[in-house]
Amino acid sequence: MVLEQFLDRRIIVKHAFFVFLLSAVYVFVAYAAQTLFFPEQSIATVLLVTILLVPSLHHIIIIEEKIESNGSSHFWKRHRTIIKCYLGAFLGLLAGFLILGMVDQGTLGYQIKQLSQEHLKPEIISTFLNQPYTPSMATVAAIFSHNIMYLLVGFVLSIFYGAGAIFLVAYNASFFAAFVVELYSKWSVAGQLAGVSLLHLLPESAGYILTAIAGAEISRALIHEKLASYPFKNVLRNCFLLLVFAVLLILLAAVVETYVTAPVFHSIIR
Amino acid sequence: MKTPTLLLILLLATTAYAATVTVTPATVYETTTAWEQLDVNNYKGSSIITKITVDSPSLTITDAAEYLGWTQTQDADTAEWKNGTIETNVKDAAFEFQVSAPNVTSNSTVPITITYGSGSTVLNVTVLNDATPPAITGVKPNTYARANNAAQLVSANIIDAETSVSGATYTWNDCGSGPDSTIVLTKSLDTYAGTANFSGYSEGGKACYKFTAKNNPGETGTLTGELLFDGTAPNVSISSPTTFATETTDFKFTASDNIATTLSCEIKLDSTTLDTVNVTNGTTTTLTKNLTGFTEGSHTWTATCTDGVGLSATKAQAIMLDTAPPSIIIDYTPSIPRTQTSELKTTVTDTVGLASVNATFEGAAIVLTKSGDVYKGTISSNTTGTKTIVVETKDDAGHTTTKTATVTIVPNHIVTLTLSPDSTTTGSTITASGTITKDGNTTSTEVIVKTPSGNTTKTLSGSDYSSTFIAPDPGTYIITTEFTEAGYTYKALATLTVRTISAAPEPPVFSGDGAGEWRTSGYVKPPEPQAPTTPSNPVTPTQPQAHGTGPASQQYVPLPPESPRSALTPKGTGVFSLGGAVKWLAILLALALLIGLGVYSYNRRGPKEDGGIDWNGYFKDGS
Repeated sequence: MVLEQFLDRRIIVKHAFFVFLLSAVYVFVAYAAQTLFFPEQSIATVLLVTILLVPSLHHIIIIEEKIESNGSSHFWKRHRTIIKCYLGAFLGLLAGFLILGMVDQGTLGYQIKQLSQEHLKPEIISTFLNQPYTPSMATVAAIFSHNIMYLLVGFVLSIFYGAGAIFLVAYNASFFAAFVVELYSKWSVAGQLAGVSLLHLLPESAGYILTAIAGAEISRALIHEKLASYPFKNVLRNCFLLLVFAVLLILLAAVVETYVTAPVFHSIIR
Repeated sequence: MKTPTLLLILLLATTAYAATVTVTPATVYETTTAWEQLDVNNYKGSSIITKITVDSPSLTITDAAEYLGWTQTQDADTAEWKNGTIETNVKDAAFEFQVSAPNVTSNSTVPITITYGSGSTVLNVTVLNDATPPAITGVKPNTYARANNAAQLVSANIIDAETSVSGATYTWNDCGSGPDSTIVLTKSLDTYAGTANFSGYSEGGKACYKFTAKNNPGETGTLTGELLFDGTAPNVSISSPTTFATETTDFKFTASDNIATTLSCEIKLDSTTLDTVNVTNGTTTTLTKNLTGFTEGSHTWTATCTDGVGLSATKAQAIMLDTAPPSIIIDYTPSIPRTQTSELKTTVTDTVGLASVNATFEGAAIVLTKSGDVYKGTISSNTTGTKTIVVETKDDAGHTTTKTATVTIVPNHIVTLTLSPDSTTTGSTITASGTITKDGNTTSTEVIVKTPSGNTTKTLSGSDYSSTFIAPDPGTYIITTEFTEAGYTYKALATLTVRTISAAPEPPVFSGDGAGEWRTSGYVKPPEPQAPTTPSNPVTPTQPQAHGTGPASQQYVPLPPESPRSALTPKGTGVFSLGGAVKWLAILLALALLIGLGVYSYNRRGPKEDGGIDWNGYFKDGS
């Protein structure tokens, strides 16, 4: 909120890379605040960085809602800016959390604890590695349905939170960073594993980002537009398209994770 | 009757009834003695003979045989047997006497007179002249001799069959103007041997030798030759075997020498001679030997080759004798769930190395990784039933061993077990629950949950089960759920950590001002003042205190840190735990949301008209 005041606001809108850098810097600002006020509570960093990002993204959401209320044609042209900004924010957050986690795993303690309880539980890893891995559509369906549930929750919350739904993106980024940090702490081939992970992490994250945008737009439209008015319907139409793309990306991520990431993990680590 | 006629009749009558006498062999070589046998035939003689006399004035009688019934006397000229009888029915009575012949220059006849009873006969014995010298053969050393040998044994076979050898000598010189050296040879049977001093003859030197032998009449025989002196031992190299041998092994070696054309080589295994052969200088020899009589393990084989002068060289090679095939021990899981991978561990040992180790599972090759004697691989099958593992190995010696094992592929029922909570304190209630994901049909409907409190049998509710137990003393426990179907037990394990309450990571430290404080592990109450006479009443560690509330306690412990509850996390980090149940509700909700949103947003119906109501100041009008 403070930093962008020194710059022309259009820079933020037009340059996703700036958002990337801004988000990465915000992670450290949030971490500093967390260290001062919430020591040992690493999840607070996610919430604090959300607070930092909301003003900037709120501004973009307002503009986006105005654009969407005019129609739904030329989908990519209309949404290019906000998608690039959100994607830049996600990647910046991911980079910031990765740097933090690499320097001190304790900064991602909550996320690592969660992962070690569930996805990176030693028994689960052992079972995965000691059994032959056979990808199947049933696995794709299970992953897809789980992520759809996550998408629905995020969508509903983003309607309430508006631009604050960026906390879902930050939450995702922190978990992905913790996941990579844990890979590095467990295997020497973590670099390859992390690279392969991006194949499904990026489309999955993009899906969540579109969901967060859609929810935030509806949130803004509910406040700003008349219900059942054409502008409101235009916004809903855009959100519908955003959600369709989000679901497709989530499906793509599930397929890639099942048929590419997991087999590669299985062969590299074994 | 006229007198001459009468004499003739008498002579014929006498002749007709006289005994006959012969002597055999009637010969004797000069300077030798020989037994002569006198045979008397008195068959139908005119009288019984009681005395036999041999007179030999020219040939010395040296002995006469004695016979029972006869009295024998003998001197140089006479031998006599008397007081015995040769009746007229005796065709051959033998009398033996020994004569010694003089040295003659040619064969000569010597008369001896035999007198018997009333008659006598003159017989001739021939003294034979021996014109041939002794024969010398088997000369050693021949052609080659060891250089600088001060005690060279020399020998030869010297024979004179007629008159015997009276003596032999060995003479040698440098084949030039050097002096002769001579030694007298000693007889042993027909071999005459002695020791020559060749210390003055070096490598490459030459000597001329002469064997000289003389018989008793004085005839002299000689044999001459040359010796080449050799001071270099031969060289032996071993080609094979160099590492191991087996029942039938080819021993291959090469022998060479600087002079000898033929070498005598002996090969041994340890101290047992396997063979001795003559080999050509510089050639490689291969001897195929059967070693079945030797024990398995370490041995040393040697090749020793000797040249013509007795110089030898030996080459030794340590080898392992392997007559036994490799040993195979298969370590495997006899029952494996379908699609599951199981490790196959095969231990293969052999006295020597292994040329190959191969394993197949149902005819398909198993990829094996070697670690010492252990070969590891994995097996898996998608179909149930009895399958066969075949392990084949071949050692470097060519012995093969094949071993088979049978594995039963059972259905892949998957048992899960979740502890809630999986980290707690003593006395807490733990719920162990899970599901059985069945692979095909099952008949069993129960699971056994094994906990520190004991084993509990639970009946499945559909595919689910649940059991509770009380957390035991602090420690780490493995909780197990077992589902047994058709003799195979499927297991799921989970780790339970029971913490000790008093074992806090940070001891409570108070500032002394009576205020409590927060630690990472929770809130710590300040110490309460205690009455000196009141004994303390410690709180049971299994009863953690709620911070800030409840009656004052004599002792405070920090709250144990609790593990965070599982949060909703993106599945993107769950690469290791893919699968699980499909959340159909989520998919249906998403579908409904999209359909609803799409239908509503693309509905072309315009917004409701408000009937021209002026909403500005709508509430101010008071209407």
